[in-house]
Amino acid sequence: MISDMSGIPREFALGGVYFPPLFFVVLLAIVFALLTARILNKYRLSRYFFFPPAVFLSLVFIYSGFISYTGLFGALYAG
Amino acid sequence: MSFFADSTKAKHAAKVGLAMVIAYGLALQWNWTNPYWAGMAVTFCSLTTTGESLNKSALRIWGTLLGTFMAFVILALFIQDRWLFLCAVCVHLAIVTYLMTGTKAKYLWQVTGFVSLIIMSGASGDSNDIFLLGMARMQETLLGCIVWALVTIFVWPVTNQGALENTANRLTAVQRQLFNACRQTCLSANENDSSNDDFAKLRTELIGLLAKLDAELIAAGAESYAVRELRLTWRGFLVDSRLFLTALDNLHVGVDELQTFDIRQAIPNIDEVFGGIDKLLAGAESSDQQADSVLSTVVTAPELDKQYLLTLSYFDRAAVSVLQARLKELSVVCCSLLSAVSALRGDGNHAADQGSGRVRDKPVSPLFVLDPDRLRSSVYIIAVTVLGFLLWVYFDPPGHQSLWSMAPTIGFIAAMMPHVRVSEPLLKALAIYLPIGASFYILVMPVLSGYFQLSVLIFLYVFWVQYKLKNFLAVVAGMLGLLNMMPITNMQSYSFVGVATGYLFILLCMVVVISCAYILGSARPEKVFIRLARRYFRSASFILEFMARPRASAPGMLASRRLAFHRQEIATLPQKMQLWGAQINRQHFPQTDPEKVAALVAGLDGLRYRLQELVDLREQSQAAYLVTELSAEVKEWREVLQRGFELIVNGDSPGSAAELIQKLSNRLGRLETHLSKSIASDEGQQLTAIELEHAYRLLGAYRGVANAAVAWVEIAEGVSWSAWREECFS
Repeated sequence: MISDMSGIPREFALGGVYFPPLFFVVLLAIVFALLTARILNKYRLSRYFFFPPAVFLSLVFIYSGFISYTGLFGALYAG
Repeated sequence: MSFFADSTKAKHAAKVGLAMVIAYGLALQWNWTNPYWAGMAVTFCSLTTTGESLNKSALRIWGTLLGTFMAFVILALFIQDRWLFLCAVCVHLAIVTYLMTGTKAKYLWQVTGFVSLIIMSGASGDSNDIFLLGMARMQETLLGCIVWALVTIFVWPVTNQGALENTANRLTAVQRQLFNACRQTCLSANENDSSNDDFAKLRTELIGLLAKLDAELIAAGAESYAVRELRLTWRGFLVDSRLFLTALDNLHVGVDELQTFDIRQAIPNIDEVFGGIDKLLAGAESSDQQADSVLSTVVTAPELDKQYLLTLSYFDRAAVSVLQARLKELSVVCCSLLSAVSALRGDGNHAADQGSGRVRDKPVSPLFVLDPDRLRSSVYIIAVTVLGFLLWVYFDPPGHQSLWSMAPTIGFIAAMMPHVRVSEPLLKALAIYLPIGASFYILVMPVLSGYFQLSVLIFLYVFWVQYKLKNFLAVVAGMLGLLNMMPITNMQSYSFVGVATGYLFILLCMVVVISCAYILGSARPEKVFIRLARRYFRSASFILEFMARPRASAPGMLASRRLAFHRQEIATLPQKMQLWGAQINRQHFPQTDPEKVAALVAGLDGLRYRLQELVDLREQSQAAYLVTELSAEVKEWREVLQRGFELIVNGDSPGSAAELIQKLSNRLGRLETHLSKSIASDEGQQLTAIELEHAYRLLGAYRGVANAAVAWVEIAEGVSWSAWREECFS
């Protein structure tokens, strides 16, 4: 998560409009999940899933957690 | 270079913009609540021609009245208990959705549904407020409809009558071309592939023209007194055109059975018969010919060469008998068609009553049969409503109580067109049009002063949406940007929180609508196609099993209902499969050939005609002696076919076409041998000509079903079913 030196998450301000950090984390997670879905489709690995829409949702949650935990978005947002 | 390449579209866009400005202006001038309701009425009634618009406006007004009434009733009875209220709303929406997905007055039921939701969700609990809200909705809807009606009548009016006549002329031309394509296929000695392709293309065009004529008739009837006066004759013409298509389909489906003998020897005057029918169709097509003179020409009845028939097998005799009956049927339909056309042209044969007679003679189905797909849509809308309601009660997200009214309103579009990916225009609305509307609201509207400046903004936005966007869903998505993201009231205030909340609310509604689409199984086109095919063969299998019942006993009520249900299934499923088949993603399935998919659907249509013929023929009187003699053979044959159908239902391959052909050919061969022996016996010699003919035709129908099933399996072998069964991300 985006945080200052104390490790507490803070909002983004874009043009005076405040956005919660989770908003961008989820957006990024959706993008990663879409890329993953395309790769799985391309190599026909998605045929092993019983219910791909639920898998997609799970991927979004997994990526959200991963991005939050590793502070990946913070690194991308540096500066 | 003209800035507006399409002046018709530019004029239409200007008319809608003008109507929107006037509707908003009047609503604001009179200080009515929610002026955007008038704008919505303009948006949804703004169809291209005057007649279509007037018809849609009338449906919208009646739907608003009915929806308001239902909202009052449900609120009056159930407002004290939220769960009973939810149940009542669900029952109401289920009925409305079922009616909305039918064929009559769809838009009226759609409006009933969402208007009742808007009033029920907007109600504050005070009966006075509820009533005022309902009346405000009625007022603003009437305002929007009247404003649009006046603009469309007086500003660049576009009428339907010319379009109606053009469509009717094109229809008669295509009917004649289709008949000649079928004639060529029937008479050619060898299978003529190009004429089969021509037949398929012309048939598709004819079906499109019939639907277009139906819609234009309603629209032209709304605007033109002349069309309204002759509406029964027009209806008769439409009914006759549909009967013509059915008769021609029946004729074309039986062409394969005509290849094993010389048709000109079997029916020596067949060229005259076809020529006579062609003359009737030429009379309908050309306004130069006097219909009276054409009608007075007697169409030659097909005559059989009995000597030649004795040299043919019983199945071939059956094929000739069937061909004779179908040609007679086609002649009758063409005569009726020509009479209707001449009455419409006013050729002196003023037989306007003929149309009404045919329309009145339309058989009424004695049994009400539920459609599973329409029920599925109802369940879907219930799911969307319940999910929205629960989210509101337990989480109270942005939008609050509007969540459980807006989500089903969007869901209605998905329910009416389940094969269309509504997620795409919805996501475009979210990504493009809503932000544009929000930007105008935040950045432009605060600097405007007075209604004149605001009207310029409204006009330009509406013009751009109507001119640039291609289809109806895209236009609705574009108009959401204005209607939802740019709230306009007399006491105007601007708040980003309101805009952001509105955006999140629409996003949440779309999430609910799209999620619920997966509740009742996959919504992927190829999966639905397979599911519908299985249903089709389940129904076909039931119909064959129904044939096994003893002839002496009349079917009970349950059995009759089941038969009616399964007959409806095989009648309606091919059309549904065609819609779904056209949506199969070729990027995911590059080996899927759209022509093969179309051929699969056409094959099921052919099988349907054969099964329906079989059921109808079985009801005719049959010689008891022959029935007894042949029952065992027929039962064996039927069981082979049923096993094949059940394998398809269970998702297995029915074996190769060659195996099925072999099994069926053996049994049909034994059937024919047994029939010969039965007829040659002492008891067989006492059979009347009619009983023999009925027996031939019934056996011919059995063979027809077998041939159609084999043809379908042959086509199905070329389709990648295993790829379709695989899961993938959409």
